Amino acid sequence: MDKQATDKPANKDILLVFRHAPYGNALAREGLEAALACGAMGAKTSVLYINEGIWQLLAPQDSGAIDCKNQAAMASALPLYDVDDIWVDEASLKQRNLSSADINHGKIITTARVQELLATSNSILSF
Amino acid sequence: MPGNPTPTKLFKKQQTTSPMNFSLLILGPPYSTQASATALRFARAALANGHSIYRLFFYHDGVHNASALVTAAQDENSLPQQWQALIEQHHLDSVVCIAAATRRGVLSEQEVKRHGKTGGNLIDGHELSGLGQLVDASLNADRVITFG
Repeated sequence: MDKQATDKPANKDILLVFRHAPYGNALAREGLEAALACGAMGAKTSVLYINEGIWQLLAPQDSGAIDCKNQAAMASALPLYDVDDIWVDEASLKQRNLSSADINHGKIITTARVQELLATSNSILSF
Repeated sequence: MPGNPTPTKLFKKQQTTSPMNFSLLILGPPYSTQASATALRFARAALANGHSIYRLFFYHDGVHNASALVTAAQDENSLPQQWQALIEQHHLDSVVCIAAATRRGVLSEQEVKRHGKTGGNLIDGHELSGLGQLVDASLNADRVITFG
């Protein structure tokens, strides 16, 4: 456990990867709740939207028709919980014929940067 | 599981690495998908090879792994029972997300009283707690691995 001795927990960062569409499965919602908890506890937190997770960022969303909480409204709380780095995979957007104009927040990054993020984050939680 | 290589055989080659402290995030329910069974095998293999487990965190549909009402067919293994045995044997810290569990009907005796229900079904050895325990598990383990 060399790592534990040198890395103080406070310095570790957590990356949450959102891979699923906002509705049809509770993973998106519960992943977001986990991200908010990480931010609320003062952990250095960032999130990455990739693959089907991209759909979570679409605006506007009207989830009232399926009796679900609005995922986009919940996600807009991320900055309030000190989750500042919100990354969006460019390739996932392109594959779905979407662009920066279609999403309500997040910084679009290349696949190379996504790979770097995954390689360098201390902890990764995947939803 | 006849025919499967034992965890020890599978992981023998990697034994030269220094011991690690893992946290496991289990999102998959028993039976429906293989996630929980894979997590259980990973945990066994890690422990058998001298690694340690900081915490098991059951979240999303993974909370069903802590339900005492899960009843496997006679010729099949019950994942909730196997998890409980592993937790007991190695004195593992196992936390079940209270919000995710309550929504899905996995309740301790205390929660049963609080919500005016009858009959708690949380298996002994697990603790109901909040997402803060997942954050703590992520910050304090060398690696956190998601099974879902």
